Amino acid sequence: MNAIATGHEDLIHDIAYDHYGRLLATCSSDQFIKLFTRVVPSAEWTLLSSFKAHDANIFSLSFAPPQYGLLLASCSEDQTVRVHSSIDNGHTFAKIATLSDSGGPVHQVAFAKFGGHGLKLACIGADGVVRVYHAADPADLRQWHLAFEKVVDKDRLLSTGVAARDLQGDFAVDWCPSGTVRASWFTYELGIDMDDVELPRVDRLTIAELAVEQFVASSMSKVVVFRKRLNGGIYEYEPTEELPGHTDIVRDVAWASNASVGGRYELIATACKDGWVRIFKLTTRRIGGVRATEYRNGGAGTVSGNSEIGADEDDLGYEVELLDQFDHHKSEVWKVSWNFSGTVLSSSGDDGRVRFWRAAYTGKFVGLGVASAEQGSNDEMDD
Amino acid sequence: MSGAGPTSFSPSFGGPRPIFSTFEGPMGTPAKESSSITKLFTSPLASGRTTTVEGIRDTSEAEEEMKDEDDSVFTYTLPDAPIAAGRLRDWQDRKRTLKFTLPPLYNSGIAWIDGKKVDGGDQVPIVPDEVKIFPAEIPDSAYSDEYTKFVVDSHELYRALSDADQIGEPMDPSENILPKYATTFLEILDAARRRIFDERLSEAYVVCHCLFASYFADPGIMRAEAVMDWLNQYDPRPTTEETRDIMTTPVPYDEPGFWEFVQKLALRGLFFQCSNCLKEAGIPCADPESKRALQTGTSILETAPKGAKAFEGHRQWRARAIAFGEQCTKLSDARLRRGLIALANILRGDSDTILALSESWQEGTAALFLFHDPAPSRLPEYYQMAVAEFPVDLTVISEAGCAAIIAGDIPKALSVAERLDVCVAAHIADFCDRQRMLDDFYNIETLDLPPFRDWLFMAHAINCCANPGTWFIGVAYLKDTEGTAGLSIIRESITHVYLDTEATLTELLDLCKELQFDTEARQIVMAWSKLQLSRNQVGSALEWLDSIGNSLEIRAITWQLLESNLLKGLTLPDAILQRYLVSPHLCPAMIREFIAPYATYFAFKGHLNEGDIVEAAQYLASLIQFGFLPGRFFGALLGELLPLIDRSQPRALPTTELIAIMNSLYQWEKDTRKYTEGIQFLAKSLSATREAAADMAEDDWRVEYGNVSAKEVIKLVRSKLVTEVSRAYLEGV
Repeated sequence: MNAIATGHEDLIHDIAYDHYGRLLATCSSDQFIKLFTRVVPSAEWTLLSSFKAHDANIFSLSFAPPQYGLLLASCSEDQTVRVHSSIDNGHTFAKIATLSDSGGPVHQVAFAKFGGHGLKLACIGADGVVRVYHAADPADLRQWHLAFEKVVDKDRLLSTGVAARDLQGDFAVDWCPSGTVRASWFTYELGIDMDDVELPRVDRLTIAELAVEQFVASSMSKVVVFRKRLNGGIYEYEPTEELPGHTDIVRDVAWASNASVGGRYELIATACKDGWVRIFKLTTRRIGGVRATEYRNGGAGTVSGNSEIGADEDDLGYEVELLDQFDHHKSEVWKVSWNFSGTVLSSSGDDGRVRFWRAAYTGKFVGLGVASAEQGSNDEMDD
Repeated sequence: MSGAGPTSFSPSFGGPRPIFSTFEGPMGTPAKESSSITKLFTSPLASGRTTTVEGIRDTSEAEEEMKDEDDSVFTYTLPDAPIAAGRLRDWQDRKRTLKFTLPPLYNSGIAWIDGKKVDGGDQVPIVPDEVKIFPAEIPDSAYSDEYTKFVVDSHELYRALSDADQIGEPMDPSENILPKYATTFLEILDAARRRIFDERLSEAYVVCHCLFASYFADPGIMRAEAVMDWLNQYDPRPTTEETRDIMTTPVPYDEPGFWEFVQKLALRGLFFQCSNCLKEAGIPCADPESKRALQTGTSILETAPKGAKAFEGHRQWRARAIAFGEQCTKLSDARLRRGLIALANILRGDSDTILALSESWQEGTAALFLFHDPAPSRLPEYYQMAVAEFPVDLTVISEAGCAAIIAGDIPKALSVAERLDVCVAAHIADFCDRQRMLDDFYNIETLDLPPFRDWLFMAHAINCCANPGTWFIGVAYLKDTEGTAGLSIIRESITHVYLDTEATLTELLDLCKELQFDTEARQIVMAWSKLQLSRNQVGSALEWLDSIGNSLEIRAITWQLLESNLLKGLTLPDAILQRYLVSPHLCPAMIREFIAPYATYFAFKGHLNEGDIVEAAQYLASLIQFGFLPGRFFGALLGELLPLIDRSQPRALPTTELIAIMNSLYQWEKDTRKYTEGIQFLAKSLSATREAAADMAEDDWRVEYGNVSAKEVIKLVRSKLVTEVSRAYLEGV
């Protein structure tokens, strides 16, 4: 399939697929969002609609799960997150909400990928604050309330304040996509089998979902997992684990589905300015009084909890392990993306190449192939 | 010909191994110690080593090492690649970077160019390529139509085999159905590789053929024959050109390469061709001994044991070959003697001769297996002997796979096959699993890992799920895997299947029911109902929401229906909705409960259109007085009342109704929030009239009052209500 001219008048900053992968939205510094639809069976993309969505550069896009209709969130340098809705399969969009709590440009926005308990949206911006909004009534998606906000990297914010325009910075957020983790967490937490719990199905589901809503956010070089946990009788988001080892700005984070490993552990990939693609393995563990960050061998190692954000002693948490790391880009890595099953990771960056990594039988990742944006790269020995 | 095959047959032959070995000992010179390469493929059968997950790890690590050393992973260029060859540095100097994202389900993503610093504005002018998007596929994962056919055919065979076989049941060798299915699978694969012309699929075919020849040979043929057949198809020798060069000359025997040609035919088990060659070559038999020897030789070739009973006849046949060799030592014609002795040495399975004449480890192994002792248990031993002479070329993936198969290291062979084609690897793993060939592999080391067969099927199924048209095949495989991972993958992907038709929806919901995916079923139904709404199939959407008991959504939709009609005028309902509106008793209870306000409005409009204003007014009055009516609709509904309380026409409402409406109006105005919402909505409704005056129905009340403000409308309604009440008093009713 050939390249597609989008018609944008400035650089494209993000691309998002709808839940089915049949719609594609692009956003740009030209302040427009364009929507493309995949023609069946040719699988080519054709322009469906185009609309001015913000008053400044648009940085990121995210589609909501389809049970909420065709809903698209965008965030911008104009310091807002906007929610757009279409009732005609994407031919036209209407702005239904503007969220303007950020103290600076908003870099990334992400709808929660799972359904259940209302629609949630996370965003992070140059103020270094990750925010979660909640539309509790699915019948009225014009109403959003700020459910959570937290500075991801407190030290950094104290030293620099809100990122200045000339200061290079990056911020990213991604939700845990997996449904199965919810049950596994619940099971682990109570030490029982979900199937044995004699609760109405809906109640069981609700409890499990509340227990393990989680996302990963990065601010500069700090990457933190946030999880909704029971705290004084209330479920609320808390920073729980840190993914250590980044020596420069983290450009992107991506939380993989845990389906292919049967929910036994989670995988999170990061793209870093230091040239490394990192894959972290998060395994559910009871943390028995271990609070200090331990990070061995300049990279590969294990960390349980964290002195700053670690959970209480004898609490539940993730044991974080650097599963793999690759520096094949030999330059800044800007984007990481998982396939639906968490078995293939793509990374891309300044070397003009998309690199694919696949999970081998042992769970480690190996190179699968390279797609090059540089002409004449076919079957070449890539250095 | 080139390679290790000698052209001289003197006892002083200085090649790597003399072909004139003694008749002492069955195997001649022992094999050399395995090289580092062959160690990688040490046979568990030969060495007694148990195959472990390390075998797989070895392959992954070897792959990784290779990648680290020369980064030889498959590289392709994006279509319309935006960076000119060798101009990467220039592109980077423009402060550009490449980004890529994968879709939720499919294997084809999109790459695009972004700026590295956008916060402060990008000063570098944009070029057209920088506002394009570039489709890019995960390597080796996107299916062409031809490959999809292969996947479908393979799956059908898998289903048939599963139906015919029961995994884990020890099978009576005589009733082993696997060879028959293996042959069919090989035919399917062969047809696919011929259709597709894919190098990797062809290599996968070689590996598959090697495995089936080595372990799933048809009971009608000897396994050694099957392995030789595999080799002759994989690497046919002598070539057509070689045959032509020798056999089309006036006297082939006079050609310098004649004996080499004959020996190659014999080495490859091409006995009839070899016999015919000897007969037709114009060999001058000056003495009776030569003639007899030649006749003996051709007779032995023509009676080579074949088929099911070949194994039993082999020892006797080999004895004849040994005797034939001794017979040839007495020949006076030196050239004929040397040639026939070499032939005899091959036929009697002399390892030195065979290895000296072989050109590859495959040829050496297959020939030793065929001639020396065709007992299957000795195959790895022959492999070790051959690789001591001819190292395995690990840079050819199929060769590495075949080496592992011949060595008996099946998990490693499957791991190598997976690098070529995961569909092929999964299916051949299934055959191995059914034959209990992987049992030793499932040990303590693999406790935390899924069975290797299952893992391969999962990898294949994930590809199926990520390609249009094969999702249900992927699911079928996943359902057959042990543990929770397979089901988790189905759970993860099921909501991403596009609901193009109701048939797809039904299939997905049936699957959810079967696998008890209640949450996913709800999500799918809700997504379908949203799609139906966007297609204006409101009745269908309501029915599906009713099926999952989603009262919240039903309520929202029914109020939206009323809102839409108040704004845009009456729109015709779809067939299902129409049926429910006309025959409420057909309506499911939950829908009936929530649709009542809209149904009342619909009835009001219907009577109004028919000119039955009394009946129409009754419906409208009851809606206005409905206790749960959202305040925002109140003003617009009062507006609808205007034509019905006009003095120009007969009175439509009794006094009690008029007073009740006035009371509702009073209550509404008292509630500031409801009043404000109602006025705003009424204003929006009036404004919609002005914007779409041409499309407005003639009897729409807003046609007459379109230019009046919302508050004026309410004032007018109040005034008319008062007038109507007084009229009622005057008329004494």
